[in-house]
Amino acid sequence: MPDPNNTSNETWADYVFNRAGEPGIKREWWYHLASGTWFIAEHDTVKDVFIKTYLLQNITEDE
Amino acid sequence: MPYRLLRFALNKKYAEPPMFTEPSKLKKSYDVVIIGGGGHGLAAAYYLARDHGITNVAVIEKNYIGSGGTGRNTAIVRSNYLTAEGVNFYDKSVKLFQDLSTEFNLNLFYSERGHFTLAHTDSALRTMRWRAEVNKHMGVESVLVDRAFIKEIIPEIDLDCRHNMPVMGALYHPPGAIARHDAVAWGYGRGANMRGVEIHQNTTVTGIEVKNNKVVGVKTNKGLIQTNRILSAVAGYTPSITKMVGLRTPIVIHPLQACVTEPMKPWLNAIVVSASFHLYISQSSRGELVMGASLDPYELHSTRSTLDFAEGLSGHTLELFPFLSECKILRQWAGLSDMTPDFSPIMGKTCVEGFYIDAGWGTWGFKATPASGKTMAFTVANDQNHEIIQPFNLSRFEQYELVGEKGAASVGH
Repeated sequence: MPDPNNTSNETWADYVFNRAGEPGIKREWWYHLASGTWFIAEHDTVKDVFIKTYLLQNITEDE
Repeated sequence: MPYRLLRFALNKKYAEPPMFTEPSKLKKSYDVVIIGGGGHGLAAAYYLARDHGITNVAVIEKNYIGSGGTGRNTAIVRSNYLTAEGVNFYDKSVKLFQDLSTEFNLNLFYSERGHFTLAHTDSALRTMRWRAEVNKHMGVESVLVDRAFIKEIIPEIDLDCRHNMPVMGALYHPPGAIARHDAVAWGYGRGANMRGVEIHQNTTVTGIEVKNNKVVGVKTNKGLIQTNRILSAVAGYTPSITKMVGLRTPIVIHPLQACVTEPMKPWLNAIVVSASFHLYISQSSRGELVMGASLDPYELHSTRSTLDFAEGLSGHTLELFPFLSECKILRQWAGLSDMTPDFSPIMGKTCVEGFYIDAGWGTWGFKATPASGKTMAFTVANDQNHEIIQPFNLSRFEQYELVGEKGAASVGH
């Protein structure tokens, strides 16, 4: 994530608005209503299949 | 073998010509290549040929014409939007729609029914009033109406919704209409083809060649085409095309589902939308109720439809029209919605020379077909954004000049 204090308006806008919109496997936030848990799912957005799900604490490296 | 029938088979007094002729091969080059043979792409081809004399054009469609959003929408045409820029644009489209059947010499079954957007809360009523005032200011017919007015036009409606969020009033838009959506693609396609445009179905674009930031060609599964001008009008498939030219956009693809019921005697003349219940409903000239709701709340590039959609939609429909409980849903389907952060389209020139985009149509594209075709044809012909689409340029995001139409464009979340 670019530093909002040290970046141009265009770079910040690109971070805020633009997406990788093409079909593929995406890492998405999902919410389990019953337990109130937020978790991450790796979702094949073409076949509509979930490959992996995990809690945020279980990610060792992040952007 | 019924030989008696043969003499009728061989004798064609009213022979039906094909809608358009398809060339067997792609030429080596075209002045303009339009990617996407839906309503928007074909409309742009039509106006390029008719208004700008540009006929050396190929429309490249990967499936059959109108197989995308054009063939899947719930066919509502209206201009009761929230922003001045939006109202101005959609009003132009509605006005073009009104004479389109005559222009095409093809019956689009364009039927003005009157459009109600029901308000179930104080804040919704305020928004409807705001929209009515903006519409009136721009010369579009919209007015705030009360429960009695709604009940008079739609006697079958249960305004109290079984005492769960009763209807307080509505935004009433008399020019609201429905149309035969597939025919819009056929009409524009035939009209373009008649004037020399080539339509190539079952042809997939596999790449776009860019040199020194200028478009030079299009790669397809049927060969390479040289061209300096490309218009991308592929709605739900936009991200794959913009990736080919290295453009980043805010577009995210979500499925949008719809369904029809079994046909019944005509009882619903008006088009009814309830933002609170995420529902829009109209009765087609075939007697079927055509219904839709909100987007599926996740990214998916598939046109599958689900049981939970049918259940959710039915539950909400029955709050407004409980007498429909025994009516059967005949068919359900889905399309791909290319959503933008402000629920307004992305149109016009891009920073890649010769690459023009008509996208970001989300759940609001069908009604815009004529105006989009006309303004994009102007933009491609003159290499200059048409005045009324300038606010929808892709560059608006980096300038933080979004055109916020969420409330008026869609029954989104």
